Amino acid sequence: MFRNCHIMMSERDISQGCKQGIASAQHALFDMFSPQLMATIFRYVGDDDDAKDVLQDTFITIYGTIHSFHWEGDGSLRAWVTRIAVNKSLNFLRHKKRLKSTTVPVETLSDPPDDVDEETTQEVASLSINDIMEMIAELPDGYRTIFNLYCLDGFSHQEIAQQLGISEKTSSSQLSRAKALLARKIKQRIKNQEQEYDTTRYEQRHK
Amino acid sequence: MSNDINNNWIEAIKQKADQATRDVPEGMWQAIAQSLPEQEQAPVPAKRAIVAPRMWKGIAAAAAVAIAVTTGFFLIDNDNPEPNRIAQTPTATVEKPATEPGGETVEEATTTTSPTLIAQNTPSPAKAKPAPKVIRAKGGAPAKDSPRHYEEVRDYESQLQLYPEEEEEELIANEFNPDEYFYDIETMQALEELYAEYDNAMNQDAMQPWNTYTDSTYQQYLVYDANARRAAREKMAIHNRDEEPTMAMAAYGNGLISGDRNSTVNGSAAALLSPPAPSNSGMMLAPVAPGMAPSVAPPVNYEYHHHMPITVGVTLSKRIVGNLYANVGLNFTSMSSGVTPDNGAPEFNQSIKLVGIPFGVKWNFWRYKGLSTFIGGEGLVERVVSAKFNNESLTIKRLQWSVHATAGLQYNFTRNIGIYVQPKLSHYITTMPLNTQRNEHPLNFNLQMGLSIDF
Repeated sequence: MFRNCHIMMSERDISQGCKQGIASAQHALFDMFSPQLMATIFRYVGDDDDAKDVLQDTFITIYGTIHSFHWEGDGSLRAWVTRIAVNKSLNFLRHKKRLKSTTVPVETLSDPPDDVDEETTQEVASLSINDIMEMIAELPDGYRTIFNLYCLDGFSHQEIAQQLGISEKTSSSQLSRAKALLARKIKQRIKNQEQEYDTTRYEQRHK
Repeated sequence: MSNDINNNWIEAIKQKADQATRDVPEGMWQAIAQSLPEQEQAPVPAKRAIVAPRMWKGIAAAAAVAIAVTTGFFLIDNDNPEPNRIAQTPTATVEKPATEPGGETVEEATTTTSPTLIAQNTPSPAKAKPAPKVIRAKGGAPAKDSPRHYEEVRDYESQLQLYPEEEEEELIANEFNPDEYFYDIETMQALEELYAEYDNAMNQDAMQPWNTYTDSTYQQYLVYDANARRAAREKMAIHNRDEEPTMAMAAYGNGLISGDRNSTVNGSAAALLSPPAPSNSGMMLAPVAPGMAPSVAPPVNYEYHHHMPITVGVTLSKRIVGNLYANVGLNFTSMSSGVTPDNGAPEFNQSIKLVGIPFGVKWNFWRYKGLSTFIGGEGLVERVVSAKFNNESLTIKRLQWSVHATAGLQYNFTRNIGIYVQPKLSHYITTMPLNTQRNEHPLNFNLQMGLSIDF
């Protein structure tokens, strides 16, 4: 109920209010962006409990640095808070030293099948967002991080290399393997769902 | 390899991810709100109005009031009391109640193995007089070189009920343990006067012909006298260092507990200081081994079961610099113990209430969301405001000093209210005259939990 009271505030009003330390504006900012930021953070850290901690830390940082935000039109506040959430997630992973031991040995990965594009695109469309989020979360930390940064949050390999302290080549290489691994997971998930569906139908027929 | 992958499916994932939301746990906003700096919680006030809070915050950071219900439970075994305290109660029969708490009569008690060397047969009512009066009333000994004095000595000794000589020697040879004796302060003062007078008399007597009297019993008296004098002086020293002139204090100071204070005080004073007729000389008063008591109650052992102390306190914190805070406060501690006499008497309580002023520093070295951790050092000085041993009220003036090292964890539910848990290593520098857990274990580890209200 309280959430609905200030949901009608615009991003601009919210940012102005937060800069002035108005509690209702801070609350509105939280209500407006927390579910989306929670999903973003979960994509990076891959764990619900960790995501909650990072989300809380993210908002504390947002409120503490809101004075540095400059309004540049609709969407700018969202982009700004998302950027903070991503940075907090990366810091969290770095702090947990999970970015150092995240690569899957190259030998364990086979090249992606040639038909990965068409089938996977259709398959992605058929999967729920929760399924996709779970599969992304299942990726090794390093792969998941680079996949998120590059594919979903629009970072360049140069920015990723700076953020993670790796070379651009490494970033590119790991992204390729992350995609391949994710594609395989999607295919496997679809396959499992089909088998499950067939089994259910078979049982229903012979009941 | 990546070039082989068409990115359409990636774009499909991105579209879904952009729309993705995830449930935020309830209460997160409250947790965040209480972590926010104060000025961001409310509309920005006028400049003049904000000066005071900022100054206050900048200088004092927070005036933290912690209303702490502290549960100090000692990890050191509480059910394993120290070796029993032995209270030997030299008691005049005439002053004792008809029966001891355990149901034994005093007469029966006197038959125990207390180190009685000499027992007097018929205590007189005059023995109940305060000791100093007895001494002052004697009016001075006759001249040591007078025949009368010599006669009195022999008369006095002839009235003594002596143990067999072998037993006397054994008793004399045994190491004198002052902890097995106690005297009330009046007795001790009287004894000091007495001994001074006695010493003086002995020095003079040494040059007199009558001192050639070399009866072995008399020599034994001298030995006992020396021992008893030492004991009395030790008791006196304890008293001077400690508390009010009550017998109980002298006794408790050594962990010695009296069962019946009034009768013991009067009885012991009378027994120790009142010479039997016809003697009134210093020499006759001088031997004050416990055996001089006309009757001696049996030793009573006490077992202590210390209950969990409870402390309620208020602490005011002021930030010195950064995350370093200075603390000062006021707390109230209640300690109680169950005391069980081994003579069958019912258990009774010992209770002590103290008011203390803690002072120290605290450093918050880590903070994450509502959680914060700190370490600190603290001094504490406490004064007893009430002390009771059974029904007897005691006055204890001695301050108890202690030092504490602590590490703690605090979680704030809201901006101002939180709970904390605080393990603490404590060392009690000074001890209490009463037997307490702190006396038995000056170094202990305890855990405090409390409610913190900051404003």
